[in-house]
Amino acid sequence: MVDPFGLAIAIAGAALAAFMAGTGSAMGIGLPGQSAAGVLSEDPEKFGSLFLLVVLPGTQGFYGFLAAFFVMMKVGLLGGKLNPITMLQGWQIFFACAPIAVAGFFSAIHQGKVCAAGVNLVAKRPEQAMKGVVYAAMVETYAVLGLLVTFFLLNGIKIG
Amino acid sequence: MELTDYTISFSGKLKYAYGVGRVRALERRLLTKGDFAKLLEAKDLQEALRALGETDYSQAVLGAAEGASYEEIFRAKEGELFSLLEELSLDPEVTDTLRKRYDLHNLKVLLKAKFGEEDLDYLFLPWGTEGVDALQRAIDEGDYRGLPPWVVEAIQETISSWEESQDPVVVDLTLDRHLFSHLLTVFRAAKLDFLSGWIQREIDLLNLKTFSRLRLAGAELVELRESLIDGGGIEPEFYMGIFAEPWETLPSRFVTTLYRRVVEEGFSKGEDLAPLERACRDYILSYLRKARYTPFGIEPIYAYFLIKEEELRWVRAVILGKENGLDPKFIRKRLPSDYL
Repeated sequence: MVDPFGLAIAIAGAALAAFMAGTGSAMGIGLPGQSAAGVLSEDPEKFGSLFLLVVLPGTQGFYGFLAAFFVMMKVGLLGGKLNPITMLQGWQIFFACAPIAVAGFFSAIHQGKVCAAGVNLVAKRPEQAMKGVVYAAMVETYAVLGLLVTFFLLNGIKIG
Repeated sequence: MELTDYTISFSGKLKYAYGVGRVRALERRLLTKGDFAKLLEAKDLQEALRALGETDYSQAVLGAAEGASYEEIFRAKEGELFSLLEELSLDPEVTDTLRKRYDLHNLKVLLKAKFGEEDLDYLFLPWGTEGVDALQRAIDEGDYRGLPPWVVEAIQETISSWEESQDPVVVDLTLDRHLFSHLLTVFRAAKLDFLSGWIQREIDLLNLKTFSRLRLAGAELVELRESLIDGGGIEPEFYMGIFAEPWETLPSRFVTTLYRRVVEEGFSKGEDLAPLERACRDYILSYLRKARYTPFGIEPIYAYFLIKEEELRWVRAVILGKENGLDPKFIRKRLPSDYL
């Protein structure tokens, strides 16, 4: 039997993962996006070498979406038949979503700052573009770890 | 808004992402040592213009080919720089300080014209925040309406200093003192340490040059005290304490200051002060270049403006020098090392 409060809490967890990681990504992309616009206004040929740095903070939004999607499958929201979730399981799912929600939000914003600095690096030394990407990828590590923890925790919750 | 309430937070600095990105792209177009070498080595004006045409100044060279005077061309280039600054600045209270330096210039021209009873109108520059007419009215009629307090105080104090001393150098010093004090107030209120540091260094180097000039002129200690400006990193008492020492021992006195190398290079030719002038510009330029390590904020934009302004000054000097047949050695001797 489905506890409607348990289901609501599980949905809140999925929504939090998608919302926070997505918001972080939007903010994270905004910063290098502005920097890149500044560079491109003087040097439009750099679009290709700047693209990766601008989109990199967008990955956290996908991670949040993946976690939310996994929760939806777990509780049976996608198949049309809800799994019998209890209040306790609802809370378990909620907290399982927290790592990617929080790590995704903050890492995307900070990655945006690193990427914006990388855009400035490319503006002056285009041949060094990959070094900027490597530094940005260091921040990405912690979003990936957040996603993995969320994934393993959700995987460990047995419903039904 | 009171200046004391005005701060630029870190989140405020992030708003400069577009401006900093644009400035980083523009920095690649600054003239290099190679560009200046070509300009200096050019046999004549035409060859110098051809070399300049291959740089960021190509539009200016085209303008010259169409009959514009060099003064008009360089004025237009300065105008572009100010337009860029206005476009990129989100804190006009801060970037207006760059224009206030021109208010100071115009005030110096107006006051010297008044005291010397001569016509110096051709020296006015159009980049100040206050109109020349308003400044003229304030000086001639005492009508200070619409002028900021620092300008009013600067005018009143300069007029009273002139009445006491009748010395044009005092006019410069009094006005400089007011400008530096105002700029420091703005930068400190906005918590812009890099720009406060720049002004402190400008004050220190101006004091160093004043100290050297007065020593050469055999001035009295009291005259030195009156000429030094407060607010720098080195207290005026330091200069007064070493005023009577021989030139050879002076570099050792500056070992513990930020200006050890400036003094070593500046005093390397004894009483010739040209190396000191160059060493001071080198020092300021190298300080401003540190803004390249600032990823966000107004500082990189401000520093780019000052560096470009310096470049423009020297390009103008080289081109006008070529036009008037000036020996390139004369300019080379004064050109900042970064351009050599």
